[in-house]
Amino acid sequence: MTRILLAIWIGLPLLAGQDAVEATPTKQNPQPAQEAKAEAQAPETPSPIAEQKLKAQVDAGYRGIPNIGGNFDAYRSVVNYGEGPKLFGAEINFEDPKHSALNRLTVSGHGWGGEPYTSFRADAEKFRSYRLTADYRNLAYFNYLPSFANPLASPAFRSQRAFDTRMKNADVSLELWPSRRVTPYFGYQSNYWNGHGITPYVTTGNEFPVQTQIRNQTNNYRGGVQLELTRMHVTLEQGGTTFKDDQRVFTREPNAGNRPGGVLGSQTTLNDLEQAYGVRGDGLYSKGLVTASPCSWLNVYGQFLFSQPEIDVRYSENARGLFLMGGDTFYTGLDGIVTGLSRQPHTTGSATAEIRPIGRLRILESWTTDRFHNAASALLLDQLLVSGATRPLARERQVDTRLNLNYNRQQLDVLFDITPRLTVRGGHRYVWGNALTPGWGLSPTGSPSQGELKMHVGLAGVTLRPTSRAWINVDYEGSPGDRNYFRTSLQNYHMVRARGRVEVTGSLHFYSHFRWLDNQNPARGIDYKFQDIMATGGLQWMPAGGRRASIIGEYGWSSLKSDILFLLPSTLQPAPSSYRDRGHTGTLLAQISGPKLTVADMRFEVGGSLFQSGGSRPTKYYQPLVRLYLPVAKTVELFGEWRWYGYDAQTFYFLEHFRSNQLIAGLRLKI
Amino acid sequence: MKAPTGFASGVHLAAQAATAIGLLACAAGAQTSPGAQYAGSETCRACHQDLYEGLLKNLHHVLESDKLRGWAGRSCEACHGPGSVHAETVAAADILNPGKAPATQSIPACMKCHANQPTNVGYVNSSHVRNLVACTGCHSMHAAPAGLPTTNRNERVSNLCFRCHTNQRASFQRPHTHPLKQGAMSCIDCHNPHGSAGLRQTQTANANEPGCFKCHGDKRGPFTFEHAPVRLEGCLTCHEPHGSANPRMLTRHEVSFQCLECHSNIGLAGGGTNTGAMGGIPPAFHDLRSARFRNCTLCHVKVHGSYVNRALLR
Repeated sequence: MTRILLAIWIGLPLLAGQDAVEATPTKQNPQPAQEAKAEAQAPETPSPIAEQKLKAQVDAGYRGIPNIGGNFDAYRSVVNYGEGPKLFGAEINFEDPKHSALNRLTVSGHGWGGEPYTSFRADAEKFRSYRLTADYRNLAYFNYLPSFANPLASPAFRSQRAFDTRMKNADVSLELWPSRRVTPYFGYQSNYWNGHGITPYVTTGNEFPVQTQIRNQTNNYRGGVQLELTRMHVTLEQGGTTFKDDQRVFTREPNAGNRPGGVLGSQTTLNDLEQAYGVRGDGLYSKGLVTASPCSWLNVYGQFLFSQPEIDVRYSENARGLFLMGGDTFYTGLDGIVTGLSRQPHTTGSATAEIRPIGRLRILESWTTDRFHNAASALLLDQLLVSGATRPLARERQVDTRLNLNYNRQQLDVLFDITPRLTVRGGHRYVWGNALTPGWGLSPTGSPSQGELKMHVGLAGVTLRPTSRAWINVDYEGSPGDRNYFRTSLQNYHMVRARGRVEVTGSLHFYSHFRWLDNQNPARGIDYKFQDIMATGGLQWMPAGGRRASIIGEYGWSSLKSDILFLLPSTLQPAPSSYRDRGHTGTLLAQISGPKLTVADMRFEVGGSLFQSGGSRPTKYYQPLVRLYLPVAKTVELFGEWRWYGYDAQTFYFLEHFRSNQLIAGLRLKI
Repeated sequence: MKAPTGFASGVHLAAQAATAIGLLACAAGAQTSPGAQYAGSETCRACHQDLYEGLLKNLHHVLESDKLRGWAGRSCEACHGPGSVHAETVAAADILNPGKAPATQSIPACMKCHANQPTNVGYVNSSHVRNLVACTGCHSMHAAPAGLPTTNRNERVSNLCFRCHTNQRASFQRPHTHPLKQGAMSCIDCHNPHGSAGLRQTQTANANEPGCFKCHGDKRGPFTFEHAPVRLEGCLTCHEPHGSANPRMLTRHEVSFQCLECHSNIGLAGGGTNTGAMGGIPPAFHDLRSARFRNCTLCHVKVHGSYVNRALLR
């Protein structure tokens, strides 16, 4: 199937090219009716100039992987490219000067032929009549890293949560009569995740790694209308979602789990398991947006969003084996069902006004609220086949849960242009709200937990454009902190961000980006200190427009320090948790155009990227590459690429090393 | 000729009733020569033939017949403002050039038509606008649709963003990231550069839900048993979506620290406030000396929320 699609893809531009050739005489000798129609249309809508009716580019070839050394699962978790013939990319642009059914069509695809990341996109448009967009992606998600979560674990405890799955997303949207006063639109979106994996089946005192089959899908249907009035725009949208989750967890093989030595002198085992999730969901949502410019010095914006997803749960579980029930009691089987319903009315509203009392002064006042109340109930029924008992032990529990969030944000920004090249801004953000959550957390006991959010944040910034070839932008925000939800939330923090760019000459640019965040929560028992610094800088040199040579290079440095007290679960005594990450990143792409071959210059590219970090999880990840393009005809170019993937995790993570040489030979076809 | 911005009568009266403040705004906001009037596209074309033809290859050519906003026959002046004085003097100073003008002048020129972009909250809530990043910083008005330096649209979009967001480009060089470098997605899959109701201009899904759920629908819920941080502070509580050295883009190298840094509150949150009070405590039988307990998600597999188990075990 994949090969057929590949052949179609490669053939498409050839077929399209044939159409273009055949169409040429028609263009020179248009039919009278078509000519008349074209003339009639001319004064209404000027035709885009269609010098070439069709443009296409196809990159196809073969990827060879001579070797993958080291840990293959880690390779698949990080890189995942495979060997074989591939359609690396294709894009076809078609313009119809007759404007019959469409003005413009763009079709593109990427990564076909067994690649981990496959995409397809089509955009079709007839000006003022319709705009159609279709997007499809098929993404592999493979994750089977031995060190996930615990690098010190023995092999028996590694990789007990793994995924070999595919995520398929489709999105289609249609706009009718775009750029007119009334523009209806419709859309459909689908997200489908399926595949296999490993997941533990958890019982008291033991966990059993078993197979899981993942299958869930979300569909979204929407329709709306955009109204464009002279001084006002309105968007109204109504949508709905459906959801289903049919995950299975199962095994037919006897499994001793993570306690092969037994529990309380008995060997707990799992002999047979069938867990089935039958989760169904739906919900409607509404969206209303308004933008208006009632007068020249005032713009206002408002939105109202409401959604109410609902979930209906039907879950069953059947397990056979020998399991610890508690104390010194064991059971040999469990049959359980859970039915439940949860609902989440969710309301969001915001309003913003932009006021320009004088030309150089802008005042932005915005207010946002976001609140949802998640209410759920579940009925849990199960019966245990207790060892030594004459009849099953039946249990029944009714659970009601609630999670409420009320979030509010008010922000005032004042921007003043001191000169056309210098703008300063300042402002204040006030965030407040509260939350109510079930209190159990990881503890089976405890009352519901209430939290309160309250923060005053100061904002400041400056934008400077000393010349038309340079700019710098600096932002600051900080808060002394008041109340927040979690120990690691932003509390007493300061953040600075700066970006700048300067064009030394028309061909030489320097740019830089800096970010600094310092957050502290000195509360007793928390003592949280967090500091994150990241700075990058780069240059772009393209003499003579890059016709002969060009260089784009960047270097980045980052440092993250985090210290916080936590409770050792076994003793409930405080202990420090420290995390460090010091990273160096580099990217480079240098291109040199070589001697002219038959029709054009050959091009040679060298570069790649590297990442090296120290600290809590020292890692090296290198991806150098060399690429060569050899034009052999006006529309045909050969290319070759060598790329190296080297992953070198250090200290406790050494078992994840992998390295791979990859060679690509291909053909670029241009029409 | 008058400017093609007809007022509804009531609004017009309100605008007229506005104080001199509004008039000042008009005067200060003037971007072209005083007294300039619309000259028409044909006048512009006489000198700027190449730009005019470029425009006709661009989506903006629809302006040339845009009777709705009154730009028919004035597509150039729709963005550049009335050009009669410039046509006479041929001086660059007599016409607005949004590509070179300060963002405070160029953005309003674009917003005359584009104020209703699908941003939920209006462009003004975009940090790009607050930081005076002009529309022309990303969008080309005269050029034809982009050529084909690469056939991958996602790659083109991301490279455009990375011209300024170099920190993010650096983060994506880390081994555990979303597949952006592979061209499977782009920055705008998660962020709306034109503004959003959420912080960091994140996209929304299903009206007002985090945009992450557009692809990760299984995390959306609502769950019978929610994991509160997922709802209250979002995915960034535990994940670094731009890239991490830690598997699954976690912000800590070991899951036990990831969880216990929050689940450690018994009797310790103090000072008369609730600062960091939510998060519960770990049960005492979790002995971290055992490898089984150093990986919390080994048992709490439904860490994003569970339909059937209050401890998120299944």
